[in-house]
Amino acid sequence: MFRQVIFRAARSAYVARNSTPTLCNRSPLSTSARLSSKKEETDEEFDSRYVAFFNHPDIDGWQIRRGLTDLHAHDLVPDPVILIAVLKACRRVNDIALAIRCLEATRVKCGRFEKTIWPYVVQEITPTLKELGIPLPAELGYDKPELALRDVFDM
Amino acid sequence: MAGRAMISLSAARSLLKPQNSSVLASRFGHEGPAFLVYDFKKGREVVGFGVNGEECYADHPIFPYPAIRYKRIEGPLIALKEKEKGDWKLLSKDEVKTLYRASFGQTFVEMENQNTGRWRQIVSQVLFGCSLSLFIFWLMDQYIPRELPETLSLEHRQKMLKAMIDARMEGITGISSKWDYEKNDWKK
Repeated sequence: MFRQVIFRAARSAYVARNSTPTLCNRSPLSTSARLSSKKEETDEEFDSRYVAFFNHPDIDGWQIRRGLTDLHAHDLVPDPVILIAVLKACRRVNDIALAIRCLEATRVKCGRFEKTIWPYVVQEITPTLKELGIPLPAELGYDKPELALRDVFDM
Repeated sequence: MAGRAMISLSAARSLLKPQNSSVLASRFGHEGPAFLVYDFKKGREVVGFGVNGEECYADHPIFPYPAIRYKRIEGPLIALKEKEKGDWKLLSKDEVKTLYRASFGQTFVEMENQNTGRWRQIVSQVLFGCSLSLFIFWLMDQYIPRELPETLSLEHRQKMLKAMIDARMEGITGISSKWDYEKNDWKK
């Protein structure tokens, strides 16, 4: 449902401002409903769609978060190619916190395969991290709890 | 966790006046939890869609990108935000951490480690249930008489059987159909 809302918002946003990047893989302006003729998207198409989304020159922080939330909802670990596009997009909008947050989210997305997938992801994105000067969450000490939050029920 | 966040927001709104955050800062070692700020959205930059489009802050592992920043960009953060526009290699580790905490209240690991002590509560509840049932067993052991009622004795049951046969109960398929009334014995 959330994704539908997102896509609907994305469509209306597309109509309103033509320069807004879009995640829809069919034309948002088409009115014909293709209910059962949906073509299966390959992994490469999926990656290139997101890379194109994050590489959009006019992307802003709101759109990056929208794309990241959408990506986070998928049952997958985003490809390092997508992550590199995300990091560069974060660089363009000057939001280092968002870049670190998306790295953390990717680590969590690895789930029980964290020991195999996460090192590979780190290895692939390390040149970009070095180039942009983004530290890994572990380098900031964010692999362990740092601060405690007071419980609301103790207030 | 979303429920907790909602409760924290409503609790925050129900506060009549903002509390002295310096007291909490000394208590928690940082600027204090977000829910103490009763005008939560005011002055905070809206940066995204968040969970449902409402401009509120909540740390949620499924929606990790909240709609507003955790802190207002004011005071020393303004200069840091300007510095962030330059080369990120020039930022020190502490500055990066400050920028992160300006946008987000908790890291993922902190979110995930919120309920790590909950097993104690669960174990205590299970043990309470066990001890309650043992207590009820003890009560029954103490106050329920051991001797069986008279109706369960063999003699009484045989009398009841005789009465049933005499009353010709269930004469077609049941017990009386198996009784031979002429020979006064069970049918062979």
